Amino acid sequence: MEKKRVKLTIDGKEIEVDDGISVFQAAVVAGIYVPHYCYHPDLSVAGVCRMCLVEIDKVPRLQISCNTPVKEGMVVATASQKARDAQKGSLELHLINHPLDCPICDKAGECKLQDIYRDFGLYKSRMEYENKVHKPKVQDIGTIMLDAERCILCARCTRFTDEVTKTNELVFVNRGDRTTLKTFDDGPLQNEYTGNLADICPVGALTAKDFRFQQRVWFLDKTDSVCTQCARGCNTQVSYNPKTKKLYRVEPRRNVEVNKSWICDKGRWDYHYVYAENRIKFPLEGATKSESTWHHVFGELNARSMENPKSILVLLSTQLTNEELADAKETLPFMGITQMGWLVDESKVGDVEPYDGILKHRDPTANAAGFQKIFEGAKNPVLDLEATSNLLAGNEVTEVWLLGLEGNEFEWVTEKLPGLLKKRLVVHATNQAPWMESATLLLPNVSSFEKSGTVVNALGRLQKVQQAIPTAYLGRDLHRFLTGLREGGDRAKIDASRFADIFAKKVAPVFLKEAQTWRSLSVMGVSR
Amino acid sequence: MSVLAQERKILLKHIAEPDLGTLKGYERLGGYQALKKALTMAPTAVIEEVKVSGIRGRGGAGFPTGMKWSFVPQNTGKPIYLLCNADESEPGCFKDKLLLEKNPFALLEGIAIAAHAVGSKKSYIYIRGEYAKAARILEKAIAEAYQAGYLGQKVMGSAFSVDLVLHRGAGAYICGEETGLISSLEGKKGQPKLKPPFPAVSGYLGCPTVVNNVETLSTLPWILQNSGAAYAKYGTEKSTGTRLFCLSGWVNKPGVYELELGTPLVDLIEKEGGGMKDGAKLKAVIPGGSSTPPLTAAEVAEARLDFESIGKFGSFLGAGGVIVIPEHVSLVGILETIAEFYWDESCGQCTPCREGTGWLYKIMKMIADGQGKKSDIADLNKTANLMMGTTICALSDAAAMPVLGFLKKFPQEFEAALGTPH
Repeated sequence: MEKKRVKLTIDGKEIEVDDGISVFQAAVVAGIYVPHYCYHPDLSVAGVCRMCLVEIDKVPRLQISCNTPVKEGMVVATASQKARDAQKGSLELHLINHPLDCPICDKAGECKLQDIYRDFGLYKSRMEYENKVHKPKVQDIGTIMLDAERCILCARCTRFTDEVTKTNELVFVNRGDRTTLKTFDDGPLQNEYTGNLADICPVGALTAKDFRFQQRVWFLDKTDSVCTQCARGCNTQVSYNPKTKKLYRVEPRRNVEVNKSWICDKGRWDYHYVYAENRIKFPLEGATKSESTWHHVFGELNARSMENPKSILVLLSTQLTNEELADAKETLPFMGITQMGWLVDESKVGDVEPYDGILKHRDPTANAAGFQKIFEGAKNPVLDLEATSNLLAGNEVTEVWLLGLEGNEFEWVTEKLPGLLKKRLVVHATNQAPWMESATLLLPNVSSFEKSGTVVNALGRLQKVQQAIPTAYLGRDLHRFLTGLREGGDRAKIDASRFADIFAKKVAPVFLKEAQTWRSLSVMGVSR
Repeated sequence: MSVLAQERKILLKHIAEPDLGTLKGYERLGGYQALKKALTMAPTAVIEEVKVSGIRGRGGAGFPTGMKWSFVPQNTGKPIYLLCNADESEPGCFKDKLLLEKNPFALLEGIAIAAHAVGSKKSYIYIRGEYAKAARILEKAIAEAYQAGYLGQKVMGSAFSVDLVLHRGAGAYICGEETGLISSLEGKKGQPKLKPPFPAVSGYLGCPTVVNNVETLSTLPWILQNSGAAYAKYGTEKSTGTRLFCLSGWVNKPGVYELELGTPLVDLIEKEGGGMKDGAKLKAVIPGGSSTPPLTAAEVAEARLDFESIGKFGSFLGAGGVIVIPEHVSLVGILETIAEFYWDESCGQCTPCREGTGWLYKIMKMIADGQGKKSDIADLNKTANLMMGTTICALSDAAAMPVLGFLKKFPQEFEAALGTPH
């Protein structure tokens, strides 16, 4: 049903919006920023910070824009003298008991108190007494550190644990200016989305242990990408310091169709595999895993595939992007390799809804849906796990290449494919697992932070993974791997935009109704 | 006590009868005749009768009761709750306490009438935690009323049923605010709720809810029995009926007095209260409880006890807490105490109130301790103004109004106090 629309004027700008939204939301539509602390688009309205007070024609008192519904013909002033004075007044009141520890506060640089204070300009403090209200400072509540004294009691975090995770760990105790944020019964946080608390905290009261004191935020570059830790594909923003060349933080990027403003703790903090001890840094060969070169690897693999391509089975991970898969779909048969299977725990594939009712999917890979679509109607159909298992039971296949493994979630492989370890194994992975000991070649893959391409999530949404950090070590994505294989050497030139070409020519036509280039594809993704 | 006042008593008519608090005594004095009558009337007719009476809520805000009832939607499919606010917690107010302890059945009868009118099958009395004696009396009265068929299934043999539960608060001022009361009753922290939605539409447990004060509900039996028009004959055109006034402070006979609205304030102090103690000179009167701005002696001479007259002097009738202040008592000390009270009682959710009440109290304390500076008066005014009308409920205003009022009406006293301990 078509929603009723209403026209109103905000700061002289006439706009038309859906009926039923708040004045605050209408201001967002109009591109007008109204200062706020407690309002959050994905939480209920608390209406407590009193920063978004605006003047509305014919209404004697200022109203909080977050809880005032729009009305036809409404005339709103968000920055009139009266509104501005009230906002400044609320800010002043926010600051009177707030500690002045900005230099050592981890939120500095992205703190809303700092931001809005700066907007209103410096002014002299009227507070001439010393006895501020003191509250417990550095408290370990699990993945998060809680500083109750910095807390401005906006109730975003308590609403998050009440409404999103429904775990209710965070509570306010006491009243008046003694009101204090703490965890219920002083226990630790007990949900799998705790990192979001640090994001939504507008000040430095809740900071993530993982990121605490690691970086000053103004040194970080940010890239819009997509989480590849499960089939949900939560939209992310990845922070990278170009000086240290390291990845420091993964944060959710709001997308109401996918993840709202949230991401689970696994998606947020499991990025450490990128720098983990077990990361495969160079091509490794033989039982001793001695360091080799790509040049040598390509020579060897090429020779073997020429010799007897029928003896080779290639298993492709569902962690690979559509572009890598489309590339493999053409290049491998071109080299005579026609036996291809998918490498994913099938028992976890196919759920449309997250198992926890929030975001988490059982399938820990990013692109099972895309994989199926890419290979739909392929000349050489891809094998499912059962067919692969049967093939491995026979003697025809002597060599298995497992390509595109990422992270540490492949323990199930030897259980579901018992015949695997009897074969000659070539494993292309980011991280080494114990079962890979028997591989004759261990080849460094890149993580999803080090490559670009598209994936399709469980909802059937085509989304954009964008390279956020330079390729670590000698890792090669599947494009570079296949090029080297086909050309027979690591000096073969690969066009850096190969993934973009494949997207436009091979992937977009499969998934989208209209032609798209890599650049034109929105970072918000496209639904089926 | 004046003959005039005695003749017209509605709420306190039988207050001196020793058996008023028993069901038998209450029945003997005409109790439950009003409910009997109301149950023969359609709910809309009861609402109409109350509208005609013109009675306005006695909890402080003075909203017309009949109108409040008519806002309740009857077709939502959700239960409707009638809540009795017995959390009388404004400093200076103790009228509900008297009604609860001396005349509990009038309240129970009033609740049954109101429940019938708004279509509520479940009612709660939310009583402040400190009213332990009143709670015991009510528990007993409720049990007796159930026994006698005045509560529960098929009240007085009619088709109407209502259950009533007494709920004791834990002693927070803010739980007297109707949405704070609802939060508390729901088992949550006693914090007022955002409006809209209003309780009439979405209150207790998200259902349509009416919250009425003890005095309002206790008046209903009289209105039903004697008609709304008879009630409206008392008082003024806009402030009908009688009210209970809690007279305290420097008077000879402090206590609860029932007066027609529109009675001169001086009459309450002089005729009812027996005048100023020790012949002291009157300096100021707080007319409606600690949150209402004071009247000067000159204003007291002119003021009448109705919503409009007190409003003319920039104050409110509030919940009828009249506090008489003599010349020799320091207003600085009084305002410091008031500021401390609201600082202690702010629920803490809205920033202006949470931080502002603390700020006001700290400045007032400094002034009272003789540490006051010239800039303090301006800071008090500025801070109090930031707190006016900028929060979810009226506690912030309640804390700011006396500050603004005292500073406006008695500026010299506060300026003189700077740098002098009190």
